[in-house]
Amino acid sequence: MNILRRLLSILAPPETPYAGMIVAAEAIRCVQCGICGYSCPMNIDVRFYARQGLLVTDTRCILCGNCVEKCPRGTLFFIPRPEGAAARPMPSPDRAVLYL
Amino acid sequence: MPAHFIIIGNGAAGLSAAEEIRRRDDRARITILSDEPHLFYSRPGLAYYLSGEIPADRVIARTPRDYQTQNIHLIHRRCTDILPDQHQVVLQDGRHLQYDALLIATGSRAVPAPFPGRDLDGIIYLDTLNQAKDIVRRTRRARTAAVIGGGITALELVEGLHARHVHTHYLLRRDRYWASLLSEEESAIIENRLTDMGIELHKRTQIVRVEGRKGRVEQAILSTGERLPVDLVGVAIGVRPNIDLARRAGLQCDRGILVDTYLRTSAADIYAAGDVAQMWDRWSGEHRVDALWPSAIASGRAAGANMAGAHQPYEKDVPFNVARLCGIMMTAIGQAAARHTDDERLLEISRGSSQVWTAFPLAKYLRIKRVQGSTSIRLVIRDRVLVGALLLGYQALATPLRELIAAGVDLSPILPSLQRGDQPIEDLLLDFWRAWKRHTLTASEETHHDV
Ligand SMILES: Cc1cc2nc3c(=O)[nH]c(=O)nc-3n(C[C@H](O)[C@H](O)[C@H](O)COP(=O)(O)OP(=O)(O)OC[C@H]3O[C@@H](n4cnc5c(N)ncnc54)[C@H](O)[C@@H]3O)c2cc1C
Ligand code: SF4
Ligand code: SF4
Repeated sequence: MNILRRLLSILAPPETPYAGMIVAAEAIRCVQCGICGYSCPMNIDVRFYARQGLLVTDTRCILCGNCVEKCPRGTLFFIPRPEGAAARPMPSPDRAVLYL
Repeated sequence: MPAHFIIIGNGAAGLSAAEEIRRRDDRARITILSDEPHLFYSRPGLAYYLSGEIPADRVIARTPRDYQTQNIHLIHRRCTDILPDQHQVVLQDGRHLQYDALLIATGSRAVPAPFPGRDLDGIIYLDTLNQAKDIVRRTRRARTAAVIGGGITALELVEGLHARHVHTHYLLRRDRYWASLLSEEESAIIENRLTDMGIELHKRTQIVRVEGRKGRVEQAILSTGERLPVDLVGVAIGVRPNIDLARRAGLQCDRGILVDTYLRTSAADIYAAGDVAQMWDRWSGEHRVDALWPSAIASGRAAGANMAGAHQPYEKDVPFNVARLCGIMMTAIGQAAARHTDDERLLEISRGSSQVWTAFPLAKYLRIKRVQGSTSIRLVIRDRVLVGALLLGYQALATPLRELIAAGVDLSPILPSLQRGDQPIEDLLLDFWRAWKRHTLTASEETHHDV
């Protein structure tokens, strides 16, 4: 199932309005239910990032927004990608909001 | 010999404590005792398994590898006794284990059904993954169900059963949904959703008894005299902390296990955290039990740190809860209850479809709200300080409000505008919070430079 979804998304990547963004999480809202990872076409363990309030720096992320949309707790959101984010899983979300 | 930490309960508090101990001490021996057969899973996530949004295995939030790499030893056995004097716990298989520090994180469980017939097959609770799986199995045959209880779990049962094509009756003891937290308008938003979904709401109705055939639930007799043919009866009328172990061991308990600000119980080297612990709450000025996921995580972490020798007092954060009620996101922060006692007269301001603003000069609490369709913002203000808030739908204010409430910020600069209602509440609050945030961030950076 996941492999199929993954293949599909590579063959026909969905258009993304989120170029230049990155998925951020507000850990206190996360209940670790796993819906985010389940809805991720790249099978990224989004919950791992979310529960720690880290940016989803996994290079496979295609910014499709599924996880953000499906999270039942409003934990995940897009922020402009800070410089060097891939190497540095940083800013706390409240600081991140100030960029917006 | 490295210290041996034993943790009873593999839930949010127990596992958070174990992981925190490991973060601080790479030599410690850490053992978790669990009477459930699974690895750590998301209890709130059970609702989404029930509703069919995720398969059961997806709620499991740690892999065997996570336990291995952190060298946390999980024993799937019930702890039957604690022997505080010997510093030992007794397992269901008779084994005795010696601890240097012990954490009781046994959580809470659903209050049993209050009516005759409670032992019939088909009375269901949503506490554990096994129960959730059992409910899913039963929904394959069941056609009609009744659910009792206010709050989140009852609603999640209703939504889950409905999603699995079981015709569901939702019985409310009072005249509206979650009357102890929500305002009338907020209850109405949820009730309208329920009715639209095809749920049958019965207000001011209770189950008097449940009758069965061959040991199986067959009909519910209601306080209205009605007889409701049902296959399942869901019960979510509250939770009770699992304190039996602690009581038997002679630990001081009230509703939960009483702990001090270091999360220590009355017995040496025994700590408690999560749903089972009754902790000091600066908001109410009392020792209180919580049944909240974020509180379980935070208190578990704090207990773990203290067990590992940190000696840090734990200050309970603002009570905070996020839930999805019939597809509508809700965040409740701080003293969010809409109900009040007689001596706390309320001022109300409203826009859109709700009531008109009336003022009482002597009021202690000020309530500001805006309701628009199925979106609502409600603020509770005391002595010009924001002390509580409830958001339905619109969530962008959740973080700002939580921070403002936690810091006890004086709202005076925007209070007149909020009261007049001449500008959108969201904009006022967001601008105010941004300015406050910039100010505090700059201030803290300056202090860093000084050092
Ligand atoms: C369906 C559902 C929905 C929820 N939704 C929300 C929500 O939306 N928001 C929110 O904030 N909270 C929610 N909660 C509450 C939240 O899940 C709890 O507050 C949290 O799980 C408490 O964590 P804990 O570690 O204290 O206890 P638990 O998670 O209950 O873990 C305790 C563990 O200890 C085990 N145990 C007990 N006694 C023994 C013994 N003698 N020996 C060995 N093991 C033992 C138990 O079996 C259990 O596995 C929900 C709960 C449920 C059930
Ligand atoms: S879906 Fe949301 S709440 Fe659930 S694990 Fe992912 S981020 Fe956390
Ligand atoms: S944005 Fe899409 S690809 Fe990226 S983590 Fe979320 S679901 Fe996965």
